[in-house]
Amino acid sequence: MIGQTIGIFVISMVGNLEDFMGTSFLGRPLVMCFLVGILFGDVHQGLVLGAALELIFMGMMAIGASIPPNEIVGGIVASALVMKNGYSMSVALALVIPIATVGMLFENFLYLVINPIMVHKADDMVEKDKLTSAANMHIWISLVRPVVLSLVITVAFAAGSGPITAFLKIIPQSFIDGMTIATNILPAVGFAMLLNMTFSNKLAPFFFMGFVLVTYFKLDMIAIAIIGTIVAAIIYIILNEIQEKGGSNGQGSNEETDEFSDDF
Amino acid sequence: MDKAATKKQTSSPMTSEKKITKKELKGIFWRSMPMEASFNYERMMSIAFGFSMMGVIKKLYPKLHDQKEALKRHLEFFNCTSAMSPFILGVAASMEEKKANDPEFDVSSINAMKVGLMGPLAGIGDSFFWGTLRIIASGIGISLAKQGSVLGPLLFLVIYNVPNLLVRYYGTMLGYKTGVTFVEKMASGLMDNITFALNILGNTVIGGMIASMVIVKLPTKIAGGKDPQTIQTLLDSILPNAVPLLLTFFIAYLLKKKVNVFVILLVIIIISVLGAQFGFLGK
Repeated sequence: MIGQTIGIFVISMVGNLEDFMGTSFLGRPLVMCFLVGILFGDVHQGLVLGAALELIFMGMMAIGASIPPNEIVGGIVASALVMKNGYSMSVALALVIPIATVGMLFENFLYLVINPIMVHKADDMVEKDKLTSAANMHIWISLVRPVVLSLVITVAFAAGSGPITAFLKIIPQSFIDGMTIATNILPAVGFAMLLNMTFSNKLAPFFFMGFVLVTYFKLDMIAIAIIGTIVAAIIYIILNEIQEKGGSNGQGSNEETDEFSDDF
Repeated sequence: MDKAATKKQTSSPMTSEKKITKKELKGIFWRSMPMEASFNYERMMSIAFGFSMMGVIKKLYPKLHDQKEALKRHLEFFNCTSAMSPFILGVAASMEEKKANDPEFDVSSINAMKVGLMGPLAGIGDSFFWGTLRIIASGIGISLAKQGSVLGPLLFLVIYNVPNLLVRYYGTMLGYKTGVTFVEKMASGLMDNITFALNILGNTVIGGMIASMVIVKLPTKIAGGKDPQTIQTLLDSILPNAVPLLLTFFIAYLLKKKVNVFVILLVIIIISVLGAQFGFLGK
């Protein structure tokens, strides 16, 4: 038990330090549940749980100033409690959103109160000519969230089994089943957010191309990504041709093509 | 800090031109890695920007007073996609270099550049890194992990982070080298083409993922007999996956109408539980 608790803390720190590696998404459920699976000696379940939980959080993104439920807290705590107590996967799906929402509350508190206070402390240091210390404040602020959220995760894991077992005894089966159904539907919310960010009438044909390729031709995601890239490249070339023919300055187009080809 | 400042001051600042080397640019690349880690709601990524510029500031300005003014400039509000920020840092470094060699240089243009660039670059960066690349990486990772393959999480990280790190590194270098001229070139419409092409890829993938990853099952029977038709089989005979498609568009519409996302999540959960209880939704 102590070994597991320490293990969960270490995994939480790794996940929450994801931003130190350039917003690397190391803390996503897909990766975290895999590590939790290794910790509990069941890699297969970790991977399958990770896939299911990742799907729920995939589309959840910050809109304006409001951040979504915290996927690191939700992913680790839900998967760890389920694996430790041998619950079914639907229990993880039922637990994950409430837990992630608690994580979000802590995160919001840091962004609203603690981090601004520390930023002002850095301003004071600049006034006192302590420039290096002021700049280094960035690192101290950056460490607050990993430490706080890792403690939240570890406490939730250590103390969570009792209350959750009691909770599972009193709730009806239809609630657990309902949560499984909900997690199949919830990705729609994320995709809706993505559509609001990128969709336009001009892009509709490509959207439906992807939809039809999966619906009728049953292609997998790698195939869709490759086809999407090829079509995007074709359209890009055509647009540039048109622009150059149109007489506007086509100079330097090569340079930009090279730079952005890194992205693919 | 003081010691370093006085030491450099002695080496006649009048004649030598101050120049940023590859070392400082690499410094920006490494220092800007935790760009998003100190986020807050007040000035967002301000202190991360200041921290990333610190090596350049120390290199360019021997006098403490100048260093202080420069650092203050870069502790102003900043917010952009993490992966696009090194480019802006590179441009800022090239402008600071101009300022260090030319006292007449108008420093207000540095922050004007930051404000001018962070909006458009965040637009491209969010739709590419959050909306396209991450979705592709997750989609592939999820489909592999579902089958129990360790490649799932690994490929997810590789597919996302290789372009992420390349854009960060070359963004820094390109930002410094081309500086403001690149920004002017972007306005020529080429940038619109790139954004459009990236959105084509993003929308293709999102369309595909709605079909494969949003699952709504409607097992209610609408006719009797030996092989009864359900709502599901009827809809599938018209257009498979029509329900996920329409549902996603409907939610997008609700979000556009400023319906709170938590209300939507809650309604979905309540309907799902009722659906499980009364059998109009299937697992």
